[in-house]
Amino acid sequence: MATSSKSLPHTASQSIECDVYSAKILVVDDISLMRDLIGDCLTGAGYRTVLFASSGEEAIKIAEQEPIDLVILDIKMPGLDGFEVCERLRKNPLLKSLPILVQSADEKPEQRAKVFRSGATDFVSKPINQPELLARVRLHLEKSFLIESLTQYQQNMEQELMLAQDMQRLILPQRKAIASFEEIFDVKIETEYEGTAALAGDLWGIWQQSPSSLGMYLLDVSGHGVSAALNTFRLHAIMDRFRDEKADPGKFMESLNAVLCDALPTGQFATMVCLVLDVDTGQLSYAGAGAPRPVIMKEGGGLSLLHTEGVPLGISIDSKYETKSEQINPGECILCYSDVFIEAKCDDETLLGEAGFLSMVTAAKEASCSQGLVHTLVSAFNERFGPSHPDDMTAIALHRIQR
Amino acid sequence: MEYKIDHHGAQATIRFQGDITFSENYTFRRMLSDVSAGKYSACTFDLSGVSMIDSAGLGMFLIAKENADNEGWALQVTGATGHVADMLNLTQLSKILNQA
Repeated sequence: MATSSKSLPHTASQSIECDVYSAKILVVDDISLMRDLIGDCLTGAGYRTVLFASSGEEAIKIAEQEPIDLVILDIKMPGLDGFEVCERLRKNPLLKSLPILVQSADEKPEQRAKVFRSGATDFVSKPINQPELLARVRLHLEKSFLIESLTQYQQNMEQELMLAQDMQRLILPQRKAIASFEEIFDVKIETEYEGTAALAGDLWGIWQQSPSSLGMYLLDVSGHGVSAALNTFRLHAIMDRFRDEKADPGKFMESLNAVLCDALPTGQFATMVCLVLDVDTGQLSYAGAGAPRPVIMKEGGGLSLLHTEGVPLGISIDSKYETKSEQINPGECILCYSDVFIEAKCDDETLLGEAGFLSMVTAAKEASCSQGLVHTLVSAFNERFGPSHPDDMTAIALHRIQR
Repeated sequence: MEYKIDHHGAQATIRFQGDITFSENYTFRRMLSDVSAGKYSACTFDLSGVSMIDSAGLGMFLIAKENADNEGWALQVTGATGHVADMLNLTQLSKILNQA
């Protein structure tokens, strides 16, 4: 029988164990015998790089010139004493988290308090107790390396997330393309998109369906973060496969649903509204899969809602999506929006809900002038609920221009 | 989100309290483990104490429904009001989850 062997995964703790012995440790003491004693103790324990300073001034010079991982500092020295050295090192932003172990023969509580106030990390008693010194050196090096490693990891993750956010924005319609649709179809398109601090599950798109019709969709993949974002990329790619079916929103969504039922695990799905507007006839064809109900703003000032009730995509292969119709005349507008608007919590902990959102839309419509409806609505929303939201925020208004 | 399981023989009622959102994933899965361990024949999820459910919360109910089908217990949802009822109707999950 063939056998195979695998090495154990290299864990973070194993890695830190190796790293502590490669640490660069600076021993600061005006007494040569003490420097030798501490140095021998450290090298005997396996620490390979130990530097020495015989005064506070020399210690600061060394710490500012080369990367030091830990300092063992005597408190009583001629010239700059240990307290002053601590304070000066801490003033350097690069050395703010450098572990400094202060050694002192004076163990009175007020002395210890003074040591910590000056910026020391820990205290070791003098005369030196070698096992205690080694234990504290190791503890603070491991802690320091772990924090450094986590900080680095966090920075890398933040950079990766920023890159992914940029990629997500790139798959959304760009202003130049939107402007060309505005010109072709004699419409005004207002958009607002704000991802959460992590990654987004909202996605919207717009396309020319025919010389006289314009298509648009808004979808929201369930959940947040990386999995939701990956699913938006997946959906964006899948949609291209069904380009020919986009003229009929219900049929298009049924095709998407069939693919997503296979592709998405249980518990993940996408709500969606898809619509096609024929600007020659004013007929709006649309279908919905559980997306927040878009608002139609009538010329006379009234509001009505599209019926997007339906099982979200990716849940049931048996789901049907009916294409419905509505009339949108010049001067009227369709507003699509993500669920963050209706799920916002008011001061009394109740949700804004659809009715509350419609009140805000009415107020925004009355207040909006040159700023536009969406900008006015989002500004009012942010003012009321704060600028950061628990979910992605998308709002798109499609206005038919009255000539 | 908090939950409490009351049972009479093989019939259980799980009473939920609070919001059911993305961050409740761990608690919800623990509830599902408790339900599986109880080997009930029917479970009613009472949502009368829930004021808010987001898309991730709805997704967790779909996982519960899958568990129910795989483990052979009947799932019914009851007591949804306000936003929770609106969400179940908008997404038509009220039918899939057998809303009473």
